[in-house]
Amino acid sequence: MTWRKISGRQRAGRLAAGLAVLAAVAGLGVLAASWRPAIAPVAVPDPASVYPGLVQRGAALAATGDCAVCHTRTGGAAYAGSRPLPTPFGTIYATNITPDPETGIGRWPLSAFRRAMRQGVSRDGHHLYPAMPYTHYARMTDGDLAALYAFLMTRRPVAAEAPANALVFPLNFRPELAGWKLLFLRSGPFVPDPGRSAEWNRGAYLAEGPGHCSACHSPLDRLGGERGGALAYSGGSAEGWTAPPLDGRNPGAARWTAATLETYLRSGASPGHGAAAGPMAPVVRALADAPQGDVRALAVYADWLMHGAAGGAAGPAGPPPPDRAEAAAGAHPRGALLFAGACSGCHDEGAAGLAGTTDLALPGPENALRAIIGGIAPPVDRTGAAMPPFAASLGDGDLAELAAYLRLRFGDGPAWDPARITAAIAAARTEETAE
Amino acid sequence: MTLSLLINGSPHQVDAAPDMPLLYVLRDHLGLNGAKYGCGMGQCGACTVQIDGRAAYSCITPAAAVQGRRVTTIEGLSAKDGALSPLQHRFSPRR
Repeated sequence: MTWRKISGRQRAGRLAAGLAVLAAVAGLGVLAASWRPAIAPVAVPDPASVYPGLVQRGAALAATGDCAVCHTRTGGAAYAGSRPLPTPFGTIYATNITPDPETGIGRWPLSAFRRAMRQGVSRDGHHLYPAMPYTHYARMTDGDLAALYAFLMTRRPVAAEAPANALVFPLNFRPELAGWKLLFLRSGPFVPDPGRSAEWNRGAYLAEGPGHCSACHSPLDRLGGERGGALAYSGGSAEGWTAPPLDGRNPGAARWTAATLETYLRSGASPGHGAAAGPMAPVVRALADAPQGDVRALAVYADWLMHGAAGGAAGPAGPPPPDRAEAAAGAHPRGALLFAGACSGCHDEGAAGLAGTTDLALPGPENALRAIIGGIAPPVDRTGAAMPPFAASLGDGDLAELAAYLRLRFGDGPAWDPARITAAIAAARTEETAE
Repeated sequence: MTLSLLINGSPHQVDAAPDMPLLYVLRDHLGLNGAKYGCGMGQCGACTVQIDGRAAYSCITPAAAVQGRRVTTIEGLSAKDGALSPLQHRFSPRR
């Protein structure tokens, strides 16, 4: 028995040692497989040498792709980076993509820029975190990437080093990203559908490629990969806000049309649906600089996502859900009183009427409370939908009463969970104080 | 309805509709005319007061929402000896 025991232990020891060696070898293999060479730096291109037409085309793509939204910190120079991007895995700081030779991409040749956009690899060979949506940019054409490169290389160089990322272990070890890419970086160039209109194809290309709409409007799995298939565009989240579904599951799907979607994308608001807020506000601001035809194409594609993709008929504008003013006032008298004093001056009826508002029809109260607490800044040229912040006007208890009232009156769905309302208020307040 | 309000450190009992904007209560019931009516939509800031120490638009704040909270108007910014605060001084015609 003794002999057998020792032998067993020895065998286990050998097995463990063997496994350790195997793991080490496998680890080295992964490291080797994850390794990417540096691409030699070049002299900063002379902006005067770049064809202006290419720059213009790149500018339109940068607007549709919202590059500046992430690559500009609040109050900072455009494209100079350093904006903190909160992710479930920690905070990532956007890099400087101005042509500064030391801290930006000034010494990147086009080949390095193309590799970063398609494979998520920096010029010096390190892997980029997928907060940079290269799974989408991989679909862009060579010509568009060259145009975007021309646009960025003709920006004013700004010397600015992004702060170090603050990610949880072990995600702060970049070579692991090679494994993530094996799982999720599968997109090739965009393939047009010859059976559909040129406008649809343009919209699909812009949405799936540079626009990366589904990066926020699709759910993510636990590894941060976008859910595809039937879950694509079924709604996701961004910076604590809910990104509503863009498919038939959108609460206003029956009332959205290509025309109203275009109005929304161009102006930041659509009557009967609401205004762009949170992370969508800068997207709309950027789209204001995009060619009108491109915005129209995006609207055509979004309309198809909502009505055509699942085989459903294109939805003619239906009536908004009913206004249940009396029932809501009966159930939440305090909320009705607060609505009368704080909201009804603007939201009584007409363009700012709340019936059908997406944020009040979503299953959770997060967006509505964030908009009420932090307000909505007019997204385009300081015109358009605007709402003052109510952070100082209303206490937490009153905010909760108001939310419950709004949901019952305009929401067209089951009551919001009170615990979730409380949590949403706390989260929105924390963010509001931080800014 | 009687509302109990704490304005510039003093308690007040005001008989007003609970959904009346705080601005109207201040001006019409308490004679505190420092906060002005500008746009009535929480955009211009002429009606600004402090609620629990934070700037708020009084034109879109229902009076009922500030019961039990500290409201400070521009009249309440002076020092105890009556000396004008820098903000009051800037608005004063005698400066």
